[in-house]
Amino acid sequence: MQTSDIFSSLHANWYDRWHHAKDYAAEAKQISEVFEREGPIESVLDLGCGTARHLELFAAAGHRVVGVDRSPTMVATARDRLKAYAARAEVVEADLLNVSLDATFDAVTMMFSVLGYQVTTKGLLAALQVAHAHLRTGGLLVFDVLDGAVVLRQGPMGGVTVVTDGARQLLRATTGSLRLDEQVYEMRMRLWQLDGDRLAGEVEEIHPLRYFLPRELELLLSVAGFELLGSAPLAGGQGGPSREWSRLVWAAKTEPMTAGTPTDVLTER
Amino acid sequence: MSGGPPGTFQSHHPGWSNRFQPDKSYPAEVDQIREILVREGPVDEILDLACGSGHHLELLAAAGHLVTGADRSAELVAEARRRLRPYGSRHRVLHSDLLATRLDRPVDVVIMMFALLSHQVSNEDALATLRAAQSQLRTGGLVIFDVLDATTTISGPANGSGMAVVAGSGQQLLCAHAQSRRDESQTLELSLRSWLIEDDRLIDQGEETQRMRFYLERELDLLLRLSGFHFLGSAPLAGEDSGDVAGRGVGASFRLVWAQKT
Repeated sequence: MQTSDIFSSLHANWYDRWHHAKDYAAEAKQISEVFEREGPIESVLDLGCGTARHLELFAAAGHRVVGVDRSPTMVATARDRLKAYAARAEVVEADLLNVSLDATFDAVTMMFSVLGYQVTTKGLLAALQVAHAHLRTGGLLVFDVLDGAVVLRQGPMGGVTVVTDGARQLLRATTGSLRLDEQVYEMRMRLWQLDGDRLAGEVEEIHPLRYFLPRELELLLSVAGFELLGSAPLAGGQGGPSREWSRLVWAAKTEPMTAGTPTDVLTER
Repeated sequence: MSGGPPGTFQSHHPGWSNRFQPDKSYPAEVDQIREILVREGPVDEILDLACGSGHHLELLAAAGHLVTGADRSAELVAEARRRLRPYGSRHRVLHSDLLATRLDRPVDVVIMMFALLSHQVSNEDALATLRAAQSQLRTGGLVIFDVLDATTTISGPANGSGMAVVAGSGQQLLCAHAQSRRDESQTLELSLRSWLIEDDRLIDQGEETQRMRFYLERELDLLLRLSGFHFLGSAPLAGEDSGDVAGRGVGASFRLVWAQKT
């Protein structure tokens, strides 16, 4: 079986099918309410935009949007989805940790636990630095993370999803485990694609996601030059680690990354 | 309360209930600390910030260390001095707030027990406390402290209450506790009431509310980095046979954490 870090092409190709029940509209509405309260927000950059399900809704609401994703399959799907908004939508294929667009935005979003894939403090601060560099002063950062309190209260979860499409079947089995010393919830995902009676693809993915408590987030954000404004359970919650366990967090860019932050902070143990 | 020397029950002093923990096993905690000292040493002088009545220092002094204590409570300082008197010039106890403590020479180790860091709820207070320890240490010196552990706290029940009774020598100390976990503020709220009864007379009573922050592992790592330390390790605090917060029936436990000044 092929083993993949995250988002194999099998996963990416079927991404929207796996997540057909994810309530993007509820999430986008919740984010829009934050935009209205803390804005004005005209332009939105989505780091780790995936197939642009959120961006599509922001574009439809009139925002100028740019998405960044490192998966070519996802980028192709995202471009297709945003075709109707060509005048004010763009998708860039790049790793969010390396991306450097010559522009700043009113808001940066990182949804579907994008930030938590950075499990190390160094990686987290690097991702926050990229968001910081692409925001105007006072601009808004909006992201969702695994809520440590919920993760630790409920313990690991697993499950099976089967999607049937004509003669094609997609099977997904997930198991979860906690790596307490790393503050990581690890999702293992096995995927099988059956075309009639033929096994067309099979892959195993490991998704390590860091979870957070509120005072830690506040501290990380302040080190990265943001002020935590608020947080709430992610709207449209459904069962499963990356859904009902998620919390939406929003913060304002205050200043350059804290000058004089000990460089040791950025060195991984 | 056979083990309670006079003056232990200082109900008028804020923090008394945190210092009076009938089930606390000082020898087990100090053994655990000494294992770290042996591994990471050599260690001569140890400073205990918020030393209370000096239980930890007494055992460390008996093990041959030069010890310094600091506490903001005059009563507890007096008690610690009495306890440490046998160690003569090998000890000193200062009456000072931990943030204001200034020693004439850097020490090898700072300990901060009784979950001192968990009583620092905001990031600002937690960082100030760690920096106070850092400022009194030599480069390469160690800080050792216990905190309320987030993982076990959150996995336990959100609410609970109970009564601990310590009896002996014609006295009874009744300690009632109620606790509730506040996930949104990352704290455990403890409300404590105590009654000291001698024969058939109530001789003292007290009431106190405490907020204690619980910490995750990487979160501690970040706080330590920001205050000039390199995180070395952590382990469940020794001597907690019940796994409770100070034997009060709270479904949570403490972790001992150690780090090195960079």
